[in-house]
Amino acid sequence: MYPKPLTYRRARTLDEAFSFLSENEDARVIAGGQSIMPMLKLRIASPSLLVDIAPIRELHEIRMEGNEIIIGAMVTHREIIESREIKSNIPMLQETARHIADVQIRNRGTLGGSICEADPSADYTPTLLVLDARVTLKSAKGERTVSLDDFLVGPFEVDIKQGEILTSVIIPVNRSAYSVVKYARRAADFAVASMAALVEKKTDGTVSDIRVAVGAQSDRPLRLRDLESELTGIKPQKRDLHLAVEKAVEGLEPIDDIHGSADYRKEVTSNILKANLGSLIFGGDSK
Amino acid sequence: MMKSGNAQVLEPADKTSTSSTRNVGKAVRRLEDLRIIRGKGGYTDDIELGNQHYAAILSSPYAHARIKRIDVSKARNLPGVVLVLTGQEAAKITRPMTSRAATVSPKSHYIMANEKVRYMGEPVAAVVATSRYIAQDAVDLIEVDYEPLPVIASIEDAMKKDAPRIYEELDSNEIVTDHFEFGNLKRAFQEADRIVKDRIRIHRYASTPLETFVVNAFYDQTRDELLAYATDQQPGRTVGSVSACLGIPSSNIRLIVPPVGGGFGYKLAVWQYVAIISLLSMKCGKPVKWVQTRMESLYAFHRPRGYMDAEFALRKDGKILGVKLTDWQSDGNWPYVSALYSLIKFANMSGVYEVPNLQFEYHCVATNDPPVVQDRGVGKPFMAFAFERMMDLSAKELGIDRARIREVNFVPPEKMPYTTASGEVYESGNYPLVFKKALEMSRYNYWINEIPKLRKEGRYVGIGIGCAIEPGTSNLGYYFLSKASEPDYNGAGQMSTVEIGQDGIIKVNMNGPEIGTGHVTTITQVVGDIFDVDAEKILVDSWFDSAHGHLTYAGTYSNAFNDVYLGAVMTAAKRLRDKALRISASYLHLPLESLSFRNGGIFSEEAEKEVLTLKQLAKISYGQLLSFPKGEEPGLKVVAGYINPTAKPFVRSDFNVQLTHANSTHIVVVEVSKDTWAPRIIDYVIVHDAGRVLNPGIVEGLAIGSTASGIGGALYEEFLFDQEENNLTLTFGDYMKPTAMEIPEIRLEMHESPAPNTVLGTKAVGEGGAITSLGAVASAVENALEPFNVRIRSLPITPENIWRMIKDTDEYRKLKGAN
Ligand SMILES: Cc1cc2nc3c(=O)[nH]c(=O)nc-3n(C[C@H](O)[C@H](O)[C@H](O)COP(=O)(O)OP(=O)(O)OC[C@H]3O[C@@H](n4cnc5c(N)ncnc54)[C@H](O)[C@@H]3O)c2cc1C
Repeated sequence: MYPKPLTYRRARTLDEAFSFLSENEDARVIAGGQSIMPMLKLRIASPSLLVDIAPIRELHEIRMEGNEIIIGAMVTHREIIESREIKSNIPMLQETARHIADVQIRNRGTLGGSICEADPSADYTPTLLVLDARVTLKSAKGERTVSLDDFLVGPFEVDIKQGEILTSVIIPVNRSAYSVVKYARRAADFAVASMAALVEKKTDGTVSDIRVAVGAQSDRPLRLRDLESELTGIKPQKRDLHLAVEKAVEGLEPIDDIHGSADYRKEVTSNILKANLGSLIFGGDSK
Repeated sequence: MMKSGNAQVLEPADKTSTSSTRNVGKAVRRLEDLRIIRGKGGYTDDIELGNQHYAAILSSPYAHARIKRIDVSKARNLPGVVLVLTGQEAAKITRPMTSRAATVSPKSHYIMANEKVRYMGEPVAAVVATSRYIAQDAVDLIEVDYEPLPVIASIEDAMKKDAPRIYEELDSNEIVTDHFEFGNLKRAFQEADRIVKDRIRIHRYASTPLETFVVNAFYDQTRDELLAYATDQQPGRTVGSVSACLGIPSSNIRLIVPPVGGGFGYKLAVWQYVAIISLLSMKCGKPVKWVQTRMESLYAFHRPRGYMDAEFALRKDGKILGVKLTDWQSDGNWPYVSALYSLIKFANMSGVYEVPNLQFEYHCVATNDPPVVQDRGVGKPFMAFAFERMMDLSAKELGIDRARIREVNFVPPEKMPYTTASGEVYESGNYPLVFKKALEMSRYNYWINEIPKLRKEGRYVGIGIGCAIEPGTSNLGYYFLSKASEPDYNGAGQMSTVEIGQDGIIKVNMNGPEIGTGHVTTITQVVGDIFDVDAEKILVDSWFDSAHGHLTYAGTYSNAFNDVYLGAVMTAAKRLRDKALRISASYLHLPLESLSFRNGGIFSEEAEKEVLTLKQLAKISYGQLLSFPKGEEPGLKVVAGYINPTAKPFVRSDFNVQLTHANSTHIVVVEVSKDTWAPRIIDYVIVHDAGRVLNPGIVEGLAIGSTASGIGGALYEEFLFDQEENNLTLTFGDYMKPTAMEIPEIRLEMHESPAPNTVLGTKAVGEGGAITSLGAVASAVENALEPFNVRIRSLPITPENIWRMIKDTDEYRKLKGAN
């Protein structure tokens, strides 16, 4: 790896990180490095200063606050897979993390890094959208919390200002039946199509809550809100589901590249939504 | 007719070629592994010379463009930079590359781009600096004005009447074309009950060794000598090519090849970079090291894309009467190897089958595709793929089972050794038996019954068959099939060195590159048997050093190790053994016949005990010269050469391209997902006959590894280009090399038909899976998709490609309607 010349600094506290970041206009945060390092290597990114936030202790915490779980930005994919709190309170997130990349990347890559990278094909974001997650951002000037849906702007673009650091992700506890599906060409690849869904049903079969998001189908992961409202409050038949899915997929403008044309991605998205929402709604395995 | 077990009647040439059997035939653990795992592999990049400087290369961003101006002033002024050399400057002091097989040789293709660039990634300029980082910074500061030229992206583009030319000095973009006919095609086609035709395509894919190209060169101006370390699979040839290109006498070039981190043919192309880096060192007087980046390694040296028009003349019962093949190949632009892919197809043009009448026409076309190298199996995987696709198609059109049509056509074992229509000699083998074993292991009949039932349940499962031979040990003479001249080099032999050191350790150097395929272990086994010693007493030096004896085309390629390198090692070892015994007999005053190497020392039948240790033997042989028999030379070092006895001269009507012929049957079961259309391999069975197996662990590893590379080519990998011939697959995120997660469990059984024409009865094994797998996988997927009635004529069979094939069929509409 031959990046352009750069300075690297390790921040021990958030305040130190803020002061490093303010030193330099094009300073960048480095977390797990699994997205930024390839960019440095290819000289696509060439910040003159890298601020490593790994030593900041509070960014590694996982804790409960009321009915919410708060995960520090530096928590790695592997730690998410291994966390008991996450397993028992939001099993869906744990399941999602298991399918990210490969062991080496899961050992280093972080939740905050993945969200800030905002790859439209990344795995966490559809799940976190379905879970109605929020993110906390801090800077020398203060702190704000925004919904993930608002935070994600476009491909590789988030609502973050120079000098701000994403410190944690807030996720309401959710143990509903869920489905997380990722389709990639190879086990360690980004998704060609992915979906995350949660369904709550009443005892009579009426859908009381359904939340669905898809990845790799647009310039950012999307909640399929029309589909959700069409299926909420009714006892849907297979036909209703299929029509709702087809309508939702019709409206997508998927990524169109060598890993999958837009048409093909729609085909797969439609098929996986039908199959997996079907099992959630009509029974069978909920994955 | 068929005998059970090893039905071969032929015996290896020399049954007694090793004196003990303590090692050969056993799955001895690889001696190399412990060193590699501990980071002691000692690869080329591990070597740092004193005052080491580093190179970086500027690659062309265009596939076809004129270089109008290069401004290197900013790069030259960067502190730490010692040299910037443009391709235009290099062209003034080097000679252009020449063709090997092509009848024409462009005069404008140099080691770096001169007036124009011809592919994306072509070297345009190079920088030497005190660090690799500075060298890269300097590359970024070089300014080049390009004038883009119309791009030739396909064979059709290249062959248009008014097409721009890749090489302006040549008359056409068609670099070589030729036509061969064997037997009576006209009659075969007249007598046929059925003629089956199709066009089968092959795509661009490649082996991608973990270790990329590395060159470290130092031109010593005080002695006018070049010392180069390189990751080179064919260093004998490199010495000659670098000498010709740079004008350095070959005696003044010393090329060393440390262990190579994966060869696969890719490392046959490094010589161009050995020339570039050596030139840089000549110019700046410093040792210069260059490590190719992964992206650079994906720019170029792939398998070529192309297509083959095939026509099979068949009898009703499936018997092949004649085959006509017309091969079109986009060779990219590297005149050096143009036509090799087409010509090597002769080696397995009729595969495991009897094809009495055969016609082959080929066209090798220059395009703006990147250059081509002799990647694992060269043209053999495509040849086998095309042939096996035609076998399936023929079966379908004649309404016979795919297994049956193969059985009808196999070369019968009693005809071995069998000479094909073009003159290839299959030295041994029992193709029907290998096939039968594979059918049994895969439970072919069970699946044939089960698949229709599964279809009723909505599951698309299919079984596929692939059969092929795996020719090994190249004569290289086929390079000259297209030319009138006599071959001035040949690959049917090698030279090796065996010695007993002063400490009594037996040292072996095969004088060829060690490319990670277990040569150290295998040589240790074989030599251990000749001297009857344990592995600890043997030291295999795995550095190739051109200062030792070697032949013009010395190198580890064409799966020739088992044949010619073992032949040379054994020749040297036996000569050394005999010499050592003569010296011992004379020293001990014992009859020569009574002495032998036994259990790590020299044993006397008469005395019934060990009479000399190897250490004592060495002491005598290197020191006590007056005790020698008359005329015996001192020392215990032998350099010997070996030639495979069955290589024959090249006549257009009768020639053998390769000298050994392993064979295998692959049977694959796949299921295609209705959600994603992704094919998943459920079962993979191989029965492989690579002659005598010296080390089952290594041989099975090679058979499985080469199959993994074939599965990559069949299902995943493709270099993709846009209309301007920009390579869109320059990282492993985009170039879909399968990982361990994608490769299924492979069930393998070996069958052994010893080769009568190799020293130990061995045959090639490193390419087999890459050759046979493509057809087998395609056959299985096509079978799974039978309800859609589609044909697979090209690869890779990606999920999206499957969906595109089926999405307008009735079955697909039915399926969608049912949902
Ligand atoms: C081969 C490969 C395969 C992969 N496959 C997948 C996959 O299948 N699915 C998937 O989801 N991901 C995949 N990834 C991405 C991986 O999950 C990364 O870990 C993740 O995208 C980035 O996390 P990181 O901690 O490594 O971030 P870094 O690379 O360190 O940073 C990424 C970006 O976010 C910024 N940033 C990081 N943390 C913060 C913060 N706390 N506040 C503000 N800005 C911040 C950085 O400045 C940088 O711009 C893959 C990566 C690789 C290399």
